[in-house]
Amino acid sequence: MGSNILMIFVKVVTRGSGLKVSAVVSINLLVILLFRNNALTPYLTMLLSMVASAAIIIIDFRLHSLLLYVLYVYGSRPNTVRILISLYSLLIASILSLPYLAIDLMSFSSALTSTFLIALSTLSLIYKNVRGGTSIAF
Amino acid sequence: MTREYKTVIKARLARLVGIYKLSLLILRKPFTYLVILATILSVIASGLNTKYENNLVVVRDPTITGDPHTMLIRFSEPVGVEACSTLLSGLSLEGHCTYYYRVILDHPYQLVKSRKLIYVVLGVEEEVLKGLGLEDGLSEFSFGYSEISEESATDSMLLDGKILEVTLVHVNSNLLANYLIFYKTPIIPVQGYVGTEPVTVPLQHVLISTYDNVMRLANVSEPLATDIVVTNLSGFIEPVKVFEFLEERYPVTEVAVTGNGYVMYVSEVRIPTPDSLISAVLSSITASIIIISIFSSTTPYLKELRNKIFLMGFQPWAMTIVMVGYTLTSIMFPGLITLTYVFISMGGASTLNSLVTLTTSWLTSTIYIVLRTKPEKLVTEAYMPPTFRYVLISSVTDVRRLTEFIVKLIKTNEFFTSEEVEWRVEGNEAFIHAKMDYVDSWGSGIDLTIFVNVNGEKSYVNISSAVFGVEEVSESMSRSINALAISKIVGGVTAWEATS
Repeated sequence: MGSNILMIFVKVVTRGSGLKVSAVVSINLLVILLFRNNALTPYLTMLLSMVASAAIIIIDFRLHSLLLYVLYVYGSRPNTVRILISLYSLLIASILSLPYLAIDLMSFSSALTSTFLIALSTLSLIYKNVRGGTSIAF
Repeated sequence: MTREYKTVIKARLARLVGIYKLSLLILRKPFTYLVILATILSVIASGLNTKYENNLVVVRDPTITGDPHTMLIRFSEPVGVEACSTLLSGLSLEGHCTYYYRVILDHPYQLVKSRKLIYVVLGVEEEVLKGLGLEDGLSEFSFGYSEISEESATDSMLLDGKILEVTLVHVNSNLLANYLIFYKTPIIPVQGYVGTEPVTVPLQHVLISTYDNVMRLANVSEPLATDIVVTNLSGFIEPVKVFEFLEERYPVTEVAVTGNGYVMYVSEVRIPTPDSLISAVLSSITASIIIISIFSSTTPYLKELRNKIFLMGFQPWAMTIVMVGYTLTSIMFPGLITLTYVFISMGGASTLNSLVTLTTSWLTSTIYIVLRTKPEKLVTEAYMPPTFRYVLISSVTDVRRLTEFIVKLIKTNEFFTSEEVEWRVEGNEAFIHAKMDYVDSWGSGIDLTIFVNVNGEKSYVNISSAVFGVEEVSESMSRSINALAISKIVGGVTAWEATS
């Protein structure tokens, strides 16, 4: 059953728009950072990443509801669902902070950390949001 | 004001209010905040990332000899004459500096006897005066003037409320008008161009004199210059380098250097580099992706909203107006405010970049959302239902309540004035007849015959309609009137049934 759940999770994540949007935003931010000529640019792009991560909650809201419902039907425990959603958040946060990692880790370590944490915390809202949306009480 | 006119105004206002309320409904959704944030951030990012360079123009002319090179430097306000030596030593150059003090006066001087107003005062060096035919030079308070017939004359000059006795010395008008300090740059300040020809101040308003005389007139102790010409330069130098060197120290507006067969001009006008334009485009792509993604996830909600307002009798363009208004309010409005901030804090070149970002984001987002919320088939969805007979099956079995509600719907239809409404309920059946005048077109309307029948747990509402007009009613008009009348009843009963 564990493999089934993982397969469902992978399918939902790969078919959702959130991952694609974060990848495209990440590539764009990377190029903007490459052409940067202002010290504030990394921090501004960091804020854009934050907006993107918040947007992903809205973009894939229905899909996440569906995933949660399917997992519930499969008999997953609340902790399993929490771990899977955290994994998803981790994935999105990593993708959104990739530009800073690719350019120069040392110069942008603060921006990298901030982006990662902001994206992670924003996306953690998915769990709370989706659970409220589907009215599934754990 | 006639009753019909009042009704027309009322109906149109009702539509406007409807559109406004619908816009507010969408605008209050949480995703609007994300759209606003994405717009503001990308506009600022684009402005911040702007790299610009000074505008460089090269004029090719085979008659120009660039050996030795000559350079012209122009300033927006007078600077100390040491600027030239600072430049030459700073860039390790050698050359001969010639200074010009050329000012256009805000408050003209007045020559009392000649009754002339002087708008331009030129202060030049002795060698220039010799070139203008004033070999003997000019004594204290003597000025060259081309508009006197005698060799010299005395006059009183009124300046800043004071009278000053001056001597005017005749200067050849042709020489003065055609004297060039640099390539196609006359000594008299240029006010504008007609085609490529410069337009200068008329000679009757121009006085020329030595540096000392003009400095006395301007009441300044140290010599100042508005233009410097460096001749016999030891070598060619990039005008951009000169401009960058000077702009840190002086209010320089233009640097021009002659080369072999060409003149290079660098002005203070700044244009964004291709790199920064790429950055602007990428910022707009990022903003567009975020905004479009948000819009795409909200499309089902917006489509549902669209269908509801169609049932209420709104036209298809209502949704387009609502969506364009929405993007204007959530993207363009905050974007323009941010653009103002960018202009004030970062300057014109950054504003151009930010404007590219804002316009691209707004256009792509608007086109996307308008296309997504557009009905798939405009005609069928717009004029639902297009039939002249319609049967509505309802679960409301109280025939009297249902009939009274339908009558209410007929009477409150904002697109029509009910000329006559009559109804009768008998047992499980009811009959309604209504004659309604269409408010948007004089002399046309619809005649409705509705038969309500309750059978078991369902009720059947049979609607028949006939559109009439004192003149010939077009097919589209007829369908529109029919749809507006029937859809109000169908939509109203369906919504009432769902909520009651």
